[in-house]
Order: sequence, then C-alpha cells, then structure tokens
Amino acid sequence: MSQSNTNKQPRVLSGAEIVWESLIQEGVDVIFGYPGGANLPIYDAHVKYEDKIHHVLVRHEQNAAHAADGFARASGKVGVALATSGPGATNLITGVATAMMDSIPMVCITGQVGRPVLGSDAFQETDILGAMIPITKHSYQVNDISKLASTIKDAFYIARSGRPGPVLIDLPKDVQNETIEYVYPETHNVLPGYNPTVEISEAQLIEVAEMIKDAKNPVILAGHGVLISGATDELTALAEKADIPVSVTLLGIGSIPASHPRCIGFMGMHGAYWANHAIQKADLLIACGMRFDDRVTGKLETYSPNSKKVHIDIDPTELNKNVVVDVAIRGDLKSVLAALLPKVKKDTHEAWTEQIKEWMGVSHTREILHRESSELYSAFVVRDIWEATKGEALVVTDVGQHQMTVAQYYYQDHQNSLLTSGGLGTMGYGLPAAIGASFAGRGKDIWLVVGDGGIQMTIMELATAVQENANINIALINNGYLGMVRQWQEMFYENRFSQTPISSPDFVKITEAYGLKGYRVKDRKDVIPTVLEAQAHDGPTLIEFVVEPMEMVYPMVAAGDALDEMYQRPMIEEQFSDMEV
Amino acid sequence: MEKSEHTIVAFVEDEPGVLNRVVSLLRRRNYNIKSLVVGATERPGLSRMTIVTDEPNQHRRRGLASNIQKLVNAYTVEDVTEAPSVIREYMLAKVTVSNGDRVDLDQLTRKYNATIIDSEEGAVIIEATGYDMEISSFIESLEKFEIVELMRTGKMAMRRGSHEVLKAKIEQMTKNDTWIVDPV
Repeated sequence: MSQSNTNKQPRVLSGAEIVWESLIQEGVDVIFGYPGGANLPIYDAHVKYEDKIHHVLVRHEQNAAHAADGFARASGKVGVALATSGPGATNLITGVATAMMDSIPMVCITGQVGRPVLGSDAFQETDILGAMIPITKHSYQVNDISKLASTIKDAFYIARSGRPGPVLIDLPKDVQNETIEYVYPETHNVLPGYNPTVEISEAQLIEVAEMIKDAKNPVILAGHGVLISGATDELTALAEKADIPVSVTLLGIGSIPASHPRCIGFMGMHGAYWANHAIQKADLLIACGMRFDDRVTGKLETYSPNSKKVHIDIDPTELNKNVVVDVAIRGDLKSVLAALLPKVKKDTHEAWTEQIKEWMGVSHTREILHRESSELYSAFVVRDIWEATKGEALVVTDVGQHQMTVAQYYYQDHQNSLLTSGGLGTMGYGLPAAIGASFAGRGKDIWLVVGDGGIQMTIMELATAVQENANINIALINNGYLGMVRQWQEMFYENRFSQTPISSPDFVKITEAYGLKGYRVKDRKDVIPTVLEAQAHDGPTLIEFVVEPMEMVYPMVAAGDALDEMYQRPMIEEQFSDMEV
Repeated sequence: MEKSEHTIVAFVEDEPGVLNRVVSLLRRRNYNIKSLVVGATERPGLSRMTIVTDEPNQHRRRGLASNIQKLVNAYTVEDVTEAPSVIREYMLAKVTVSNGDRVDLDQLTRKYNATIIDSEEGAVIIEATGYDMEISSFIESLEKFEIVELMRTGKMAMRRGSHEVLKAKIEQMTKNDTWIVDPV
C-alpha cells in the first residue's frame, strides 16, 4: 500500500470529533458559539482542536449568528455558528434570517436532544429544523453518523454556491457521541437539480446589446450580486464602454468605487435624489444582481415607467418577481457580463450625464464642506470618520438613521467593505458583526457605526470584544431616540413620539466597565482628533457622539410614493447653514 | 378545468421532511393549494407531486415552479397547466341507500364507470376515478341519495405521449451538472 493511501486510512472518531475534523477540511479557522447541554460533546472535543479552530464565545447565540455573518461578509468565506438545542437554537433565528435575506454563506450547527427522546418535548428540545425551514437555504438533521461528514460537506457547498445562504445542521447529542470510521468525502453529493450550470443564451445577449445601443438614458443598477459574483471589473468595464451611469443598492455599495466617474451613488428610499431621478427618467435599466426590493423601487406602479428593463440574476425566483422585465437572464453575473461585453458597442451619453449633473445641482445631499459649526449631526460624524480613515475602513453599521447616513456619507471605494443588515434590517446586528469581521484578516481598521437603540440590543458583546481583544472601533451615535421610528412618527404620525425616546446608561462608564477604552464627543471639532486617537489605541474602543436629538435622514421617499417624489431637507438655511446645499 | 387553476408536477427526493419543505414554501410565498398529491414513482428514492393552485398571475405561476426547483431536494419541476396531460382524481363516497334506491344507484355508478366496493346494510362505499369535472358531476348526481362521507384525493397529472422529456431531463441532470433551463 502506498504512502498516500496509508494517510487515508480511516480513523475511528466520535461524531463530535468528526464535526471539528470536517470543519478543518472546509478551511474553517474560527467559529462563534455558545455551549450548552446538547452540544457538550462537541465542546469537549474542541479541546483537542483548539490550535486549529479558534472558538469565540459570544454572550448570546443571536450574536454568534451575526458574528458568523460579519465574518462571512468581510472574509468571503463561510461563517460558522455553534449553539445548543432549544433556546440556544431558537436564539440563532434572528441572525439566520438576517443572513438569509442578505445571501450570506453560513453554516449553523445546533446540538439536539438524543434520538431516543426526539419528539418527546424533552428538556431543551425544539424542532429547530422545522422552525428554520423558511429562513435557511437548506437544513439537515443528522440522525445517522455515517452521513455526518458528507452532510457537512454538502452544507458548506450549498452555503457558498449559487446564491449563498445559511444552512442548518441539527445534530442529536447521541450522534455526537457515537463513533465511526471517518473519511471526509472528496465531492459533495447534492442533487444535480441544485445550482445547475446554465447556458447563457446568445440571443438574449444580442438583444441586450441592441437595447444598450438604442438607449439614450440608460442606468445600471448594481446590487449585492456584483460583489458575490466578483463582477466589479466586468460591471465597471460595461459602464465605461457604453458610458452608462451606475447606481448602487445598499448592499451593492462598493460594487463600483463611489469615486468612479460613472457611479451616481446610492438609490432608494434614502438614496441620492439624482440617482432616483435618473432611474425614474431612464429609458433602459440593466439590473445586475439585485432584487427590486420595495426600499429600492418605491411604488411599483410608478417605478421607472418609460424604461425597458433587463434583469440579470443567478436566482431565477427573483426574475419577474417584483418588477416584470423585458429580458430576464438567469446566470452568474460575472459570466453573463463577460459574455455581454464584447457585444456592446462603445458609446457616449453626454446629454444624459449632463442631465444627471443638473439634478445633482438642485439636490440637498451634497458633500458637507464646512466644519465651523459646533453642533453635532450624525452626517458630520460619518463624513469626518470617512475623512479620518481616508475612506479605507471596513465599515459596519447597525440599523436605522445612522445606517442611511453611512450609506450617504461614507463614500465607499472598496468591495465588501460595508457590512450592514439590508434585507431584514436587524437592530443589534452591528456590534457582533463587527466582532466577527475582526477575524477576517482584512488588515483594515474596523469602524462600527451604531445608534443608542441598536447597541443596547446586543451591548453584552462588548465583553466578547474585550475577551478577544477584537480590534474594532465603535462610533456610537447617541440622539436619545429610536431615531428612524421617531422620524416616521414626526412625518406620518403627527409628532406622537410613542415609545421612541430611549434612555441609556452612561456609555463611557459602561464601556470602561466592560474594559474598552471610552471617549465622548459633543463638539464637531473633536470628531477627527478623537477618531484618530481611538484608531491608534490597541484594542477595542468606543466613542459616544452626542448628536442633535431631532435630526432626520433626508432625502426620503415615503413608503408607497414614487421613487422621485422625495422629501427634501426643510429649512436648510437655518438648520444646516454650514452645509453646502 | 377552471381557468385559474395551475398544475405543477414536481419530482423530489423521497426523504423525511421534503413534503414539509414544499408546503412551507407555498404558504410562505402566499400560494393557495387546491390539492396536492404525492406518491412513489418508477424510480426508487424519487417522489412525484402534483400540485394544483388557484394562482391566476402568470409571473407568479412561473415563480412557483422556480421556487420549488430551488429547493435542494427537488430534481425537476414541470408546469403542465397548458401541456396536453391526463389529469385524474380518485374519490371514495359513502352513501346511505334504501333497498328501493339500490337500482338507481347501480345505474348511476355504471354511468360514471364507478364501482361499489363495499356494501353493508344501509350504506355502500363507491369508488370513482375521472377528471375533476366528471367526479364533481358524479357527486352532484349522488346527492339524491344521502352522502354521509366523501373524500377526493385531488388531481394527479401525467403528460400525454412519450414521457421522454422528463426522463431525459432527469438522466441528463444525473449524468452531469449541466442542465438546460427553460427560458424565463
């Protein structure tokens, strides 16, 4: 028997050991989890694998899922979360749903009660597979140890291929304790109907090239799929060759550099005024790896009424789901754009570019120039963090007003450098996701921008950040309100601020109690120096920015309005005399 | 067939929980199931479903087939609404019948090619197969007797003629990962 064959001699391992061995085979070097009764054998086996896989002990399982999600978004790898049965597993749900909505590759492993008591309402038993069917890409319960290694192989393949998503592996405790000869399969065993290689139709590509040739006012809509597919170069090449402006979705930020001359910025409910106008007045939309979410389209009946529409997406269920299009192409975006490019003629759209520039001129969300005012607005904070970090930070947000402010004012030139819960809009996402991202080895400064509401949903993870000495900086925007909801109450509920004023602990004290370095900033002039100081500090830091309480995010499309019916910032002169408008 | 009816044939893995996934998907995507029949096929490990919904919107109809196809346990899905197909339903009815009515009932069952499969004092069980309008019409005729129990299976669909299209598709998929997708 040859040497290589001897190496493949199967070893007898327990189910728990097989979990770790298989994770190593999949290239996993960090996982986020929380121990409990039903995953004790897995944790016990970890002692032998500590040097190969680092385990991050979160303070709540929801945050294990968010941290795995943040790690996945920042690293491009599959994030892994581990929880026990029952409450441990159900705590994962919000994090898994967040990952599902945003197409994040993740594998969640849950302990389960032993097979003899499955279905008996045993202590800490929950039908987590049943509960997670609607919010996972796929789910498994492994009741046969001979299928454990192959199930893990398949789960990773499913999580990362096609349109990525979270996969659950539920593992009864007695299966973790059983033993078997371990061989990790070389290939996955997923049905061939899954993720087929799709032949790109030549006729469709020619049709799209013709549509581009005939268009006077084309716009490319770039979504998260551009980043997932790694199609930034192809997308940029198309925009340059045919001179087509590109607007990005929230998760598509970074799919083309914000500073690229063809990039016209962020679209949608709080998108750039000119980008929304361009979309509405376009005669051709080329939607790339995006899903026409309601936050992006506004009222569907009035959405871009005069345009022909092309939609390219790897997920056929997204095609003609929200917006019915003229040409729907199913396929990997990078391959489709690469095949389309040679068919597209070089072109210019000067009049259209001028028109968009003109809309920029009347818009109210331009560059913020002056810094003399001492009043602190979150837009100033974000803009100054951008300047202090030279636009090079890996930015993580929570959900709410500050999230939109980051999308508007942190001009992101880099791919996969804005981590934000887009589809599900999960408050509390930011802190654990930033901790997860700190394990991705991107070599970037990590800045979490978070509100006073959101951080209080997952503030216990400050302890995790300290325990791991995670190199994250937290910009806490404190306006004393659940600001985005308060904004809706002000605009649509006649200023009845029902349950939106929120009190907070002394954030600097609590930060220091957790063991982070804390700062407080109330004056605009202190923003950049404090940001630089925090960044230079070794270890996690938190800066509380005490901002104007009644600030609103503008511009805004009210739910149910057309995309170009935007609320502009009122009383610009009084409120924002130091902003160029 | 009612105009709004939409019939899908899905080939899925014969594994625990697959039916749960399909039904959960229909609920989640807000499709109303008119009937769903599932059973074994000519291939071991492969179940066949006939799903009938009342979805009128053509884009949502296509979306349903794509959504089922997207399930990891799905082999292939075909929309047979417009395809020439044999569509059949099975029915069991328990009817109370007095001696005087028995001749009428026998005539009626013969007319509909139905069979009395159980006959006890005062009540008979009748089985019938046919396409849904036939079954409905038979049930209507039975109403002059007293129907005490009734059960319809819902529709099973099979395309007419050679079955090669589906078979070829499955075999192609099984051989390699390339799979020609119907144009969207």
